[in-house]
Amino acid sequence: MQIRVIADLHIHSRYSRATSQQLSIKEIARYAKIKGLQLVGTGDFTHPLWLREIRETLTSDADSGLYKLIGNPEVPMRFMLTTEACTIFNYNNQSKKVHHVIFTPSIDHAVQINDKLCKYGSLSADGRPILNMTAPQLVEEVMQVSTENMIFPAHAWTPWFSVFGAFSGFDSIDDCYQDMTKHIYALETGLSSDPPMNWRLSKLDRFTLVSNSDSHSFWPWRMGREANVFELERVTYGEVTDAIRTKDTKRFKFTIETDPAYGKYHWTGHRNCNVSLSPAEARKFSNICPVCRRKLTEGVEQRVEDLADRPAEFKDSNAPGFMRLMPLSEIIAAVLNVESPSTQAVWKIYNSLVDNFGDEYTVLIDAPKETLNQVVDQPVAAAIISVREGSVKVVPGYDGVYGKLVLSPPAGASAPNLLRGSVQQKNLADFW
Amino acid sequence: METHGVLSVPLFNSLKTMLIKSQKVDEGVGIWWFMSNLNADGAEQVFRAVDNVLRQVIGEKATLLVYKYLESRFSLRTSEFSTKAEVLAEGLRCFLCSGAPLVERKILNDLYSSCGICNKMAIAKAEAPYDFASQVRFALQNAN
Ligand SMILES: [Zn+2]
Repeated sequence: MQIRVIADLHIHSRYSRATSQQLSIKEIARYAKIKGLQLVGTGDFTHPLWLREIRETLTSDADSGLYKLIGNPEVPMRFMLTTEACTIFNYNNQSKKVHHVIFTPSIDHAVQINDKLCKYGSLSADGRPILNMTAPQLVEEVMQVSTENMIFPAHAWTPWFSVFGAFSGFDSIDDCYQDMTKHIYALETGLSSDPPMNWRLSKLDRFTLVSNSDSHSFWPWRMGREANVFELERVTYGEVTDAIRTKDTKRFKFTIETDPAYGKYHWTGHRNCNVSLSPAEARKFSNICPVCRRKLTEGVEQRVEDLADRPAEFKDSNAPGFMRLMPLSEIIAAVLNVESPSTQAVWKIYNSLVDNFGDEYTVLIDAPKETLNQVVDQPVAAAIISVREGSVKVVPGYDGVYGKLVLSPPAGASAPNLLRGSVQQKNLADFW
Repeated sequence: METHGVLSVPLFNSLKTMLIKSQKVDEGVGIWWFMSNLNADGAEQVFRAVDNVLRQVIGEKATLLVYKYLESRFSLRTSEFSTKAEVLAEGLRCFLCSGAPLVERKILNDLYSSCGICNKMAIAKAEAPYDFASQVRFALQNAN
């Protein structure tokens, strides 16, 4: 029998910067269950205090290479030991800052990795350590501990800190990882790109595209907003990593993606100048901000177009599929027209849906429309179905600003209902 | 807020206290100790520029504390400032926060003059956004 496993394998602990101080293993497990995840990364295993909490709260799950909560069988959440590291180095006289995700199958392996990495920078200063080493050096050190370990580029397209980033990245995976590219099997697409965007680069065909939240909190509008869906006979570290390594569509079924426009770096722009431009518009301005005359923060869509050798419609038929969703709290906030998904009114509706259907993914993916209508008001049910059917639009994010969900206008209405936030972005027409 | 160089007075004083209390920093260690790690011309020029500016801005003791910080947090030795300018920049940013750009500018000005380069020419060559590490490399490559 195949077991469906929804996995978010890149999150952070409270020891990473800009994270919630309540971010504990137990809280992660609690909210991951509400979200509908079955497997979640621990994040930050390189941090000594977080590794201590991992040892104190988790126990090996029958030698599967995964971990579970000690003495808490009512939360059947499995954990994989994961971390993210930043390498800073010089390549061809250019400064490079690249983030990488690392998986490992046991605490012993994690300790061995930490013993190696602590020579390149402090592991206790940040849950996501900054390492004074090149990307290939990092891969070599991690793989020397065990070839069971897995390492791949994190959020591969964000302008800063990524392998293809417009500001400190590369034009190819091989340039970044050199002779260690042979150990790279996957690439994390990040919020601002999705599989179809990545399929446009034929040189990425051999890599499996994975999706994770990179969440800095346990809130359900962050954790699990992107995830990977597997169907496995046994839920083990080896099965998950092997499905990724071999791009096995029988086991790695699909990824859960937000609309790439929701990501904070989808379009090119300047946050402070309120300028947001599509790739074509940005090129007309030679990527110079029409307000402040400085170089714009190049968005992911433009960067993909720069490197693509295939048209936008290209489909990789050998790759796992994908499904576009939005966090349920964001959908409810949009319907209620409130700025934050954390308001009480949103939580009230959220909790009633989760209480009725079991978890958030079930609400988003499986709950029948008629039943949704019996639990919540019609506009909320209609919005959930619209997201599921892909009939919503998102005003693209840019330069650190999240995209904004736009729901279809009710019948007879003329203008779309722009929700969450009232800041009007400027576009090309405003500058002619 | 009252400042000492780019640091607020409370922060500067707490750095001083940390330094004096620290068992790791030997007060008798002089600049020659760091200089002894240097070899190539570029390494010495960059180190001198960094050292001049830090001493001028935050004083001698806090400067030594910065070097200890760079070594413990980023495994960066003073002899590597020229070859790992991007790591130096990251370290200065982490340590000095919003004061870092000013210190970077001062270091580059010092370095440009020691390399005999006109500042404006170097800045014109710089890619936006402003990149300290590429400026250091530019200065060393174009030294007169
Ligand atoms: Zn601007």
